[in-house]
Amino acid sequence: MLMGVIGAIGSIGSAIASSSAQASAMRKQEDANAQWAAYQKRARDEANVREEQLRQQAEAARQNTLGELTPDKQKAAQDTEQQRLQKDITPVNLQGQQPVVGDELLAGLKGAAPEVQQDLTARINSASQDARKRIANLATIQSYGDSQFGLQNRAQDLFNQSGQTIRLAGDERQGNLAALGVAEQVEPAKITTTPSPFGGIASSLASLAGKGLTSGGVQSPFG
Amino acid sequence: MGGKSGSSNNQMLMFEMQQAAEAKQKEAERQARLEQGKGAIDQLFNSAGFDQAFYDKYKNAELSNAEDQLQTQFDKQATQNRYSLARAGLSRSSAANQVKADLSSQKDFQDIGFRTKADQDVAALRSGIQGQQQAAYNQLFATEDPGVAAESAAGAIKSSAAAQPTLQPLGELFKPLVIGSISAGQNLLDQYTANNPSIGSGSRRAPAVSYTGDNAA
Repeated sequence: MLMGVIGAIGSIGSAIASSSAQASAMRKQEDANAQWAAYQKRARDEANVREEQLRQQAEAARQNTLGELTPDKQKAAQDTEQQRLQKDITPVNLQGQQPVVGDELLAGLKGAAPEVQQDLTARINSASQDARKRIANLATIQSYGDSQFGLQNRAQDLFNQSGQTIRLAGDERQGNLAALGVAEQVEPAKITTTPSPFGGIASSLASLAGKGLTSGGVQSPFG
Repeated sequence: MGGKSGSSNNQMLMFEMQQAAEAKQKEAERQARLEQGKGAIDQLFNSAGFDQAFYDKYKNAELSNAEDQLQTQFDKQATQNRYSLARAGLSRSSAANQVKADLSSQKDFQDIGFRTKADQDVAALRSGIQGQQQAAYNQLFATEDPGVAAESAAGAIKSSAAAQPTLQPLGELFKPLVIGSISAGQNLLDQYTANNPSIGSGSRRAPAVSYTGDNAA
């Protein structure tokens, strides 16, 4: 009988101990989950901040290029390039307002009548006017296209510059996202409750208590 | 204990829901930026900024460059023809008229070609501007999505570069007539007519003229 009572008390105690261990495990799991959530949030926040910084770098480069491609700026660039080309491709003897009538052209005409010399000068003037007109036309045409700073080359350069920044930022953003992906693979610690030794003891004590109480019941107290 | 477990699960669920909400919000912001960016690009390239005057300036320069050369060559050829006709004694003849008409016809033919080419080159210039717009779109997409290759932006504009008109001096645009042979034929015909007054001047036909054929435009 006494053994049965002791067994019952021990069984109850063991059960309480086992329950306490499970509650502790649950708390630890919650703590682990909270730590994991905090870690994930921190990793995500950091990645988001970095992502936004890089996106803004790319956006700034893009906006800068777009700002240089407005019709007004492109027209101004075309005008500037046209003037540069006009100056650059004009032969030296046409750079002055009055064409230089070279001595070689007047060779043999020194003694010619003034009318003849004037006629030659007029013809050379006409030729130089034609040349200037052609130079102006060529400068205009080229400034729209493939000259050094022509519209097409200018736009290409601008897109190349911003493209490099966007590509660099894009590469870093992909790396940033990949690092976040690795962080997201981290799982919360899993607290597993191993079978409590108190559980076995409680079971044994309960069995003992059962036997003790059963045998006590059969035996007469009166002998 | 069941309550404890529910609390833990709820915590995880809330975290995942928060993540989903953040992702949704970020995507909404991204789409708004795309819309805004596209609108800004459209406004830039579809506005009146690249107006007809912008394209006409290019076309007129190209036309002027070609037509000045055409006119110069026409004038020289007309002078040459006049001298040749005079040497052949055909300054006032139907043959001279034919030569002049032929020269004028060749000039018109060349002029039409220049105008057609200038129109095509303006179309290419427009295409180049559209290429800029496409490149701007590509950079917008690449900025909002790092997965998009930015190389495409550079490629798009390069492929749409404006066609360049011929800038080298044009070659011989006119096919000169061999007026010397006309002269020989004309002299024989004149002699024949003089010897046979019954034929009369009414039967005189303009002699055939031929092209040299070697220096085609």
